[in-house]
Amino acid sequence: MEFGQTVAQRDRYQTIRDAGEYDWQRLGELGVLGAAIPVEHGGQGLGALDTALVFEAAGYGCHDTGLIFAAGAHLFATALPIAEFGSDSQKKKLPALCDGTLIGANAMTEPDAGSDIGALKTTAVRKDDGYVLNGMKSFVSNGPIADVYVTYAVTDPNAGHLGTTGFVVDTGTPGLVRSEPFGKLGMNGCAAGTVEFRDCVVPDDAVLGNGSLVFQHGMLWERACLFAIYLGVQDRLIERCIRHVKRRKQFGKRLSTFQSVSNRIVDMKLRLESARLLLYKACWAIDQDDVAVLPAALSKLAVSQAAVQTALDAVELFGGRGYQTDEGIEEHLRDAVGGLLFSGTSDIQRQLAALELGL
Amino acid sequence: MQAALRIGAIYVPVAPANPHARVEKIIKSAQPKLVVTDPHDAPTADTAPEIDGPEPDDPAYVLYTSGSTGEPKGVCVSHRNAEAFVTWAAEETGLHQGDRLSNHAPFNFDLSVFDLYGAFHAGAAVDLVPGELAYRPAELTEFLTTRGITVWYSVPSALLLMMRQGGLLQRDNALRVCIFAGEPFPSDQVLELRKAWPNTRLFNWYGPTETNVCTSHEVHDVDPSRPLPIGTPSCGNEVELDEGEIVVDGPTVMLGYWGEQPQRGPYRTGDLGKLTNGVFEYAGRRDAMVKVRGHRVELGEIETALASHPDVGAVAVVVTGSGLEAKLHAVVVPRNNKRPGLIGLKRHCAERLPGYMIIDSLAVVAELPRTANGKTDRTALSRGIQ
Amino acid sequence: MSDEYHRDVLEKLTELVRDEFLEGEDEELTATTPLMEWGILKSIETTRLVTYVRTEFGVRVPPAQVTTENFRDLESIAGLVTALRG
Repeated sequence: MEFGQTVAQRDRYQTIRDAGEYDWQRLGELGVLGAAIPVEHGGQGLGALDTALVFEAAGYGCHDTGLIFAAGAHLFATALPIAEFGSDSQKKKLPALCDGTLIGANAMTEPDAGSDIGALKTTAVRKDDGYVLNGMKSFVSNGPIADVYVTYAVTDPNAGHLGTTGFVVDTGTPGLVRSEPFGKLGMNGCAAGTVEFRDCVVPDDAVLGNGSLVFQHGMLWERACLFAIYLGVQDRLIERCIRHVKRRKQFGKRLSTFQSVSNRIVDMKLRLESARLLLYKACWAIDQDDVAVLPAALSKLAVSQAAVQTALDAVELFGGRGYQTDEGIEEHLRDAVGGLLFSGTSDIQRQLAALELGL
Repeated sequence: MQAALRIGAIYVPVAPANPHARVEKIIKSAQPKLVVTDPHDAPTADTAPEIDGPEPDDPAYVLYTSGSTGEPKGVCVSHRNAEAFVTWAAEETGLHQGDRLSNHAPFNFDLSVFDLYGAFHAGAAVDLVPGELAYRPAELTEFLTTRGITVWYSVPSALLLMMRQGGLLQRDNALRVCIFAGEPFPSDQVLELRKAWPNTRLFNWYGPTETNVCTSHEVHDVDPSRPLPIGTPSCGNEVELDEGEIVVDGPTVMLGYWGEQPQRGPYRTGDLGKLTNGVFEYAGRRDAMVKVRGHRVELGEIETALASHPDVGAVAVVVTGSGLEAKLHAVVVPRNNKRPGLIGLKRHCAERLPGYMIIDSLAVVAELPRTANGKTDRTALSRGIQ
Repeated sequence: MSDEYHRDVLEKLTELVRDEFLEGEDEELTATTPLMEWGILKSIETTRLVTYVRTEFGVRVPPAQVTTENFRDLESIAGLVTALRG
């Protein structure tokens, strides 16, 4: 395990961090959207650790955390599964997914099934040369705007959690009905809505692979790499807290001279750096083709919890200003809460970890 | 007079044949708090106390049920309610003076309404089962057979106990009618009863205390692969399904709960039903519908499936744990002496139910805990396991 | 050698399934009991079994090999482990 960053890594990090303006096209140009996609399909061909650094940089540079989250969902749960499991014809979509021409979405979550693929209700029934999909996906990031969906449905009800299949479905397929974006607590730069399949007929070539296999692969990358966004966000937030407490005075003294304030900031930093190491280790395990389930689960737990606690600490350090919406402090807290839920709730991570420990 | 003595009241007997003037004097002198008479003999003078003859919609009796909150709720039943049921039931079962009914259910359980008032209605005899015998299979069987009972009405678990441990099916009896209600009767065991007693009329009645019996099914052929139907509406009631829930409107719907607003309109039973070819099936309690790992699971459906296993006598399925830890736990009483195994029962479920309804664990017990009314006590089961 | 290994794996896996997933019951558990079909291996049990194979036999089952065919019964799982051991 190398701790030092290579020149290439540093350059890439700085370019993305200091890009200034960010939108979907720009993220394509910067290589964020296709970071982990092989070069022959238009991507950057990066491993997990390098990909995490890309998202860390984007999380730092782009103040619209929701936008970077949308890029993460697009890459890890749509483009990457297609690159890993897709047919040749499905892979033809990859260059456009990498350069920002197409937007991808992952339609997995159902009213009764969050991260448990064994609880899915959406069905895909064989018919002629394809399948008929029926079911409701209740929380689809990028759902209202995506061009390509990766979705999951039960194909063999007798095979339990192994009886699901992943499909690639294009926008415009008859029977694919998507909602307007719904309101949510944070991550407002990422539109989310429902996607419903009503007798939606897809050809055989829409099959991506065994649902459980495809889904777990995407989730592993999300837990490890996507959460690097929160590392960049926390770097930026802690720097801002430090600037604030060095400027602001209370009782005639700078805030930074109060030990209760400086201790709090040291704890924020400690939490962040510990979580960062866990995340790098999880990415490293993926790159080594090692079993990464345990480190990824621990990393996801640590990063998501650190993000919430650090955002809460920042609100307290900024006091009334931290609570006001125009200051841009409280939004970190709102953006952080989602991290406790997506890619598997904290309880799910603990369960995964417990199973890996043989418990 | 007996009652007055026992509660320490004083009684003054007055012969109706007395002249009115004399009756008036007696009333003035005695200042009675209560007059017991019949309207036809009632005193008519100014001093006569007011006589309250019951109107059809006056409450006749109040039966307390456990209620979902655990607070007892008094179900207020009117004369009209009771009469509608008793008249229908007597006709349905052809009660006549020569019948000898038993009374297995305690008086606070609405099954007893049929035993007592059905007998009074038809001028038949009723034999009260001593409370301590209620779940002693041998004595109960002895009672049924030697007392010459012609009409038996009880919860299925009492009958099953007599069948399994009391040797009921091996004994001669005088039974003309056998009725069960209060909980599901596993259909393959009804089939056994049907075969053993080809000439006895068998009825499966359904209805919560709030509506008394609102559907009835006379058992002819039994399909052991399906739950025993609860049948078609009875007592002049209308029974419908609203989003799967059994809703009852008609003459046996209670006045309301004691001390609460009167019941207006149809009564929602909280039970789930299915309608096949105009015949209702009971599909469990609405609140027994649980979510296990994202799937809606009707515990009654699993119980019905397990009850058809040759080694399963009685069964209750409960959920243990919650969220990710939720598991389906079956508590089973063996039917014969063979102890059913977990693998065998899982297989039995797998052949009949979706994968998410396969039980996770098993406990084999000598008997299921029962409520005072003889039904399976689910609260006690869950408490024992958690 | 491979036969012996296979037998050992089968024995240990049977023990695991019996003790951990079936409350110690073994009356009906055989090498061909359909584990997936009868709901003995659900998602959590499958994960535990894969972890057990990794720690007990040092054999990593790649996610792509976790299929209904390979996990149908103890015999097929033991076969998979033996094959993956190389």
